[in-house]
Amino acid sequence: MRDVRLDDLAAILTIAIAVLTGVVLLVFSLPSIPYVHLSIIWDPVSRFFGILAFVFGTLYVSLLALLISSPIGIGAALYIVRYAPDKVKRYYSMIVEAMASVPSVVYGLRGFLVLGSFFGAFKANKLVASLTLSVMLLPTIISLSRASLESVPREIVEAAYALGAMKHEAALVALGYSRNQILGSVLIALMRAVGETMAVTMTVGNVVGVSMNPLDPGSTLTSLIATEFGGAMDPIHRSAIIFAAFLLFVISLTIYSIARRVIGRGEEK
Amino acid sequence: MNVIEFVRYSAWVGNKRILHEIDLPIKKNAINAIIGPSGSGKTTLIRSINRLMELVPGYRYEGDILLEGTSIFELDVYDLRRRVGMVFQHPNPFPHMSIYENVAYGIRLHRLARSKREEFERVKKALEMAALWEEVKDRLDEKPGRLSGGQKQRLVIARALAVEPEVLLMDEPTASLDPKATTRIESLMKELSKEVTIVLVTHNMAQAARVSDYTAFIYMGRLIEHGPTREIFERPKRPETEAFLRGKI
Repeated sequence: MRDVRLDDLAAILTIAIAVLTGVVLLVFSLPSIPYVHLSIIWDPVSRFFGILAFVFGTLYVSLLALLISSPIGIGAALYIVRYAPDKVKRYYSMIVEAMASVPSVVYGLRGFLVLGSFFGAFKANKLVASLTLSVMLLPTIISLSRASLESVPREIVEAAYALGAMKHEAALVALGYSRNQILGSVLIALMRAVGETMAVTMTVGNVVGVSMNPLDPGSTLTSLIATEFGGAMDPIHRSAIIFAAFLLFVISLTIYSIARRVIGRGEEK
Repeated sequence: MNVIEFVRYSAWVGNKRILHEIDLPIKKNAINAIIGPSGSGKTTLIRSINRLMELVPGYRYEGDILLEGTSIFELDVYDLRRRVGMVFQHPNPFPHMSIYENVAYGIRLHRLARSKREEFERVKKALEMAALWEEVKDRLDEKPGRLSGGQKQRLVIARALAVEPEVLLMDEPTASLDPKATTRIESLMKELSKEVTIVLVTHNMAQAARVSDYTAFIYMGRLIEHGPTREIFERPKRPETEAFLRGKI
């Protein structure tokens, strides 16, 4: 009984911290609300804070990164679980775990130096940011997809084999079986992507604008907060940046709750 | 007539020898029961027939298993598994596919239907053979999750039958079912055995006595005795068989 109560306490505390974070952000962003607009123009001097370009940049860069890393990550997970010999399996996990432990500033620098060079001398744009981000998302997608693929019951895969499925066909059955969990892992990765600050700030170019061209520089909610918060002297400007943080919080929470629901739906079987 | 014949067949997993020089005929259009205590090698024996043992790391064999006179190890494994279907201990329909898709899975895998119409007819026929059609015909698009255990087991029997196998391997098919569902599966087996050869692994001796035509008794990886079920149960020739039937092994 004691343990249960401790668990409950922990859950309540976690929720309380999350709610408190949201409330604090909201309260501090209140002064800027009259100055915040659904516009792409961000002009601190005339106190006109259009938030749209940053929301656009965040979603654009994150979704493009996901588009790149999901097939690679899920494919890699499928390879580890269903094809790789034990020895490869062991080294593969080591590499994936090592990838996850690299600080994001290092990824940012690497993205800027290596990927940025493809587009001329050290260029920063949305594509460079997405590519950098996609590498950072791989460990999340690989390890979560791998866990869900490994939880596919043996008799499901055996049933496919017993019906005459070839290896790749049995792998497809396993993939279908865990599709909700895998979609959930992609959403968790999206949440990470939306919140990633350092690497994105270093590679995205930090130009406010709404352009569909991935080779144009852009700006995200995180890069806005990272680049402007320290230098913002005007309290309304500060408050507007906090509003950006509040939006970021809401977007992340939304993605997380969708991910939970998707994964939950998969568990009902 | 023998559909399958084990010829001095031995199996190992790693260094452990599971089966010792088995010589065993499987009779056509009959229920062939394989009985024996747990750990005696029954499952290895049945999983050797469709080469599912090849999924087990460290498996190797000596001797041969013949299907209609041809070594199964010379057949294309995917073709072999079309001709030899399998039903497992726990009902294992694919939960992410609909009832219809479950049955159609093997048909699509082996491209056995040239049209949607033909596919539907095959699915229907398989579900009818498995005595499930009447219960699911109005919800073919539903997932199998809400079916009862016995219905799920009949669904996977239909899934196996849909590719028209010559042999159906059944590994403890009623072990996880209640008595009523068990009775249904048993009468279904009897019905099916008119068209399909059934190999039934069971640790339930009463079940073997009730439904099977032939019984093989396996003990510690060796075939102790084999013959018509009545003879085995009424006049066992070997003391081990008798001891097992009396519950002493």
